[in-house]
Amino acid sequence: MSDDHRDGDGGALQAIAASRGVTLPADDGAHLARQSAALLERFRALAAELCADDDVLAFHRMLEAEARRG
Amino acid sequence: MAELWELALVELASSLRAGEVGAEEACHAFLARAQDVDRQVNCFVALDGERALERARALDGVSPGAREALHGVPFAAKDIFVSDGGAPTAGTHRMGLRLRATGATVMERLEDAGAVELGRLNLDPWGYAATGANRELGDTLNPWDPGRIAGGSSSGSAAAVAGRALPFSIGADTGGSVRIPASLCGVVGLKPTFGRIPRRGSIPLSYAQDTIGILARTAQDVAFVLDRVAGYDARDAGSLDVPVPRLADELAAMRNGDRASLRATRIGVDRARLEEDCSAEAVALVGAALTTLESLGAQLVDVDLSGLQRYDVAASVLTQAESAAVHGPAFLAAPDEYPETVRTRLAAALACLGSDHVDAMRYQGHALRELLDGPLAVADVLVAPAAPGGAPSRALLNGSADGDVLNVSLALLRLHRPFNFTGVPALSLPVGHDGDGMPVGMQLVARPWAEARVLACAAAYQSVTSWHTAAPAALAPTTEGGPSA
Repeated sequence: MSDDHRDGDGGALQAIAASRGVTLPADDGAHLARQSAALLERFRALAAELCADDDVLAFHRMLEAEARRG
Repeated sequence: MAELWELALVELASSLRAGEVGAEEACHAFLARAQDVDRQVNCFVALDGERALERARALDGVSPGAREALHGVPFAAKDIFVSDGGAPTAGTHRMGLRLRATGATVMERLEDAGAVELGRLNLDPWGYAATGANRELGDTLNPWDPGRIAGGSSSGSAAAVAGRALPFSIGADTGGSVRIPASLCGVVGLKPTFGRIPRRGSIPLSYAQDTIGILARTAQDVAFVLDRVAGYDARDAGSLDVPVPRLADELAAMRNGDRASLRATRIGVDRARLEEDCSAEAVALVGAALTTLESLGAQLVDVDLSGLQRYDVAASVLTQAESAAVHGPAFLAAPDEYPETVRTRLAAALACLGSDHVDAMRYQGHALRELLDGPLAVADVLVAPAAPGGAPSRALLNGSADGDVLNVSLALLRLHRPFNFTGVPALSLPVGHDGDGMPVGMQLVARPWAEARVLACAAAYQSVTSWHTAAPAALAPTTEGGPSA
């Protein structure tokens, strides 16, 4: 997906939904696109804090390490 | 003499094990109470009295020396668990998801412990909202005021315990679904550490965050149940093989009102955030609770919880991405079969990339490390709001249909999701009533696997206060709550 799909354009989200067989009314599409774009924008800024070697398994390893800590 | 349904769990269980009360007698008493409460607040999806009584009669044949801890104790669970009785509703008549499991570990462990299941409890459809509104099965109402929301998604689990229809119940918590209704209905709700209680046999919402939880009137009762259902299950990919301490006995000692019981406990509070998130009434009630905890020996320390807002954003993305995976095929085949609240969020998830999901999981480790190295390095227990105040009016949900359910849900969820995202144990504890007489709760949070810390704080608090003994006036005849010390 290009960034165009995250820009609050209801048409883009409608197109994605349509490609998966979901029909969104125009108003809903625009509303959802705005909400979704805002959330993903904020999240992308957070994800930029991550380093390349921040692993998806780190969370579980930390939980296990905490258990050993007692 | 008190009615059986007025007894708290530990007291009731003790009487049942000793044979002072029969399992069938208790079952009859709670079934009658449950029917009465259900008529008023719609907390059950179904009651199965015949099955419960059959099991209770069989338990009465067990000799006292062979009785398990929860011998004959009635309970029910949020209707998301598979069982011999078939698939759950998940809060909808259109539950079409296939599950591989044929039984639920938590339900099997409760049966092994002697508990008697009375029925199945109501919830927000698919567990994917936080108000207790359910257009298909009927809304769960707040026992303190039927004009207020019960909170959700474990709405029935909280309303039934608050209404004294059950001594304890089981819920599930992906973003506050145990703690939110517990707070709004005035009971204790525990979301343990991620992986502490096996979730095998339950309808998923977010694989990386779903946690089975327990609701009861006291922290000691919650600990008593946790002791029976916690522990590793190799059949559950989310279960972690971690030693399980026995908590109930430790907490029982605290109920003697030991004034120094929290002497070695550092309690962290971010007062600026508290004031930002809560009504003035709720801030005052949480402040009074902190004073009580301090009087029990706890040391209050300032912490910075501003990072929680970031974790909430990441938790939202993670939940959207994973719920889209859970519901994808069914949703794409028939989106109109989903309630608007769920449909909206699943449709928004279509814009999530696979890399967003991976990044959210990578951010989980980052967030947990930050929480452990920051606030939880200087405090043993964190205090956070469980809701902005007392339960909102149901009139809020009568505006533009389901969009308002979503907005009310999001206002509650943002206070809780950070602790699901980081996997830490979090408990909602009733700490008073607002000016309208509605319960107000606060959250206690600790490091992973440190359920004992939050339960100990809650038990100590309850040993010198009586909010937990208050019952909804319309439903029960017990006393008004308040500080007793």
